[in-house]
Amino acid sequence: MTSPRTRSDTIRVLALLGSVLMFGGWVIVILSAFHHIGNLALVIGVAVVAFGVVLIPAGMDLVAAREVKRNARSIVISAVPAVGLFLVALVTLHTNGPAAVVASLCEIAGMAAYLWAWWAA
Amino acid sequence: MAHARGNNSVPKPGKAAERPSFWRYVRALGPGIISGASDNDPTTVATMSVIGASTGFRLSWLTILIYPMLAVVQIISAEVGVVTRKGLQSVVRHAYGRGWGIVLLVSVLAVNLITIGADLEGGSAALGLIFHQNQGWFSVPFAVVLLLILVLGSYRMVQRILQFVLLVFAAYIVSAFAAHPHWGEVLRDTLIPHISFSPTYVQAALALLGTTLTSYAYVWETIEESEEKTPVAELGLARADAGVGMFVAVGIFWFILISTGATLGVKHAQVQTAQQAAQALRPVAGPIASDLFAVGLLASSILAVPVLAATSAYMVGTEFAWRTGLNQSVWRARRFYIALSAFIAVAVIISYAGISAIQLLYVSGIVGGLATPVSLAFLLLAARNPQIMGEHRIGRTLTVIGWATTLLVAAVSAYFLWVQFGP
Repeated sequence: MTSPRTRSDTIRVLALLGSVLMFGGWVIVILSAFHHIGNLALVIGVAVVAFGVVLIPAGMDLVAAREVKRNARSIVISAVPAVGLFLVALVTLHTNGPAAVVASLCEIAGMAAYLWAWWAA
Repeated sequence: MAHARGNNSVPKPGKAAERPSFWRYVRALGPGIISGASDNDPTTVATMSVIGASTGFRLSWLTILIYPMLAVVQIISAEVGVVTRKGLQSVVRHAYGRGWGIVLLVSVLAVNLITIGADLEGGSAALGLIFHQNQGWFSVPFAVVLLLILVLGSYRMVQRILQFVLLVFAAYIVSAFAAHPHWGEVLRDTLIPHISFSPTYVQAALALLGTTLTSYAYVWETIEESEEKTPVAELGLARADAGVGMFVAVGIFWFILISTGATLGVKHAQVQTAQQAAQALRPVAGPIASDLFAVGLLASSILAVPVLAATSAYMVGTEFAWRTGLNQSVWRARRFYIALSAFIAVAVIISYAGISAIQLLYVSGIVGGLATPVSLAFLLLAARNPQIMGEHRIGRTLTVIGWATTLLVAAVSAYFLWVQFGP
């Protein structure tokens, strides 16, 4: 049986993992839009610094927030637009086959991990 | 997110000597950074695009100058939220009376309603671009989905998942380089203020100030910080959080302006539609610039509209002492949810007014500029009031920069009105 402290840390690690995976999924989809740019280093640098480093830790506060709606209905209604927008981006930005599969797996796994952490927190 | 806590006293500093843990530090950095990075709402993106196309790089200096102003305003609003544990509307109502509360309410609501309508139309225009259909088909379904998220779902969860989509706007940074602007000219215009009294320039300056210093952002910041229950001992973290968040936001504003100036401004191209605005991303995204822009615009609309509608409903609810909070059940806070729905319904009507999405977004920036001095003045009065803030009232530096910002926006607003309606 885990102590409350250990459980809390596990939830946060799960949330962080989920955030990183979701972030990764979006990076893969959006980067594909820049396929004709020779040097992607700038894009990756901007993405990692401006969004990854900044947004991933900042989002952790949600897991700890107690006073939010926390039921199956709110998860479904909140996740559906996010999934829809991800699929729209996947199609409209012409993400190629293997990249689309990797991005989708990242997004699905990331969202599942984050939602689980949010539910359990 | 229960709103009113009924705590009128200034909280005592908590365990100031206790060093916050790493996770506490990370969590405390949340609200400001997210609000800063999410500040690229449709209004800002559209306004920057129109300004870049109409004035080139000539207002890039103002974008940089906005950083200290924006950071100070965010810091002050974070402090008011942390110390008072209340939103700005509640603070003003309790401290200055119901009459002044209504003045603040009206000044913020007027801007919010137009901005919700503009953002809703921006999201519909994005859907129109993606599905190659008339945007008019999407306004009502889009509004219904957003309302469902607010009423039945969890906005904070949506925000958490969708904020990554704003990564799209990082494309402007790459686009600015790929467009190969004359960097000497960019640097000169950024570092040396270029003042002009032409109507186009003044209008653009007001829209820039209005869209970045928009009242809902700092009213929401007070609500968020009060909801977070950040301990007063962590005021320093809240300040750093707000400062860093605004740095991220202003950096992206500047790149949007430069990339639009380098692509559309040099051709003196007009930006009237979302499709035209998207052309600033062509150097980086080529033929799918419109799609990339549309995905970002749609995500930013999904993030912006609920905040605007919720801020408006919180303010009305606070003013009339209703039970407020997105975490409350619909029945328990029914008047709050009715107000929320009413704002979105009015916004749908505004979005059908026949004004193009980009133009309406730009107009909402101008209206925001006109109303900003009123709400900023209330924020500063509250933040400096020892009866409200106790020993944590803001210092002289923040006060001076805050009032200088208020006076600057007021002066530009007055000149704009004089040009528009004067002799």
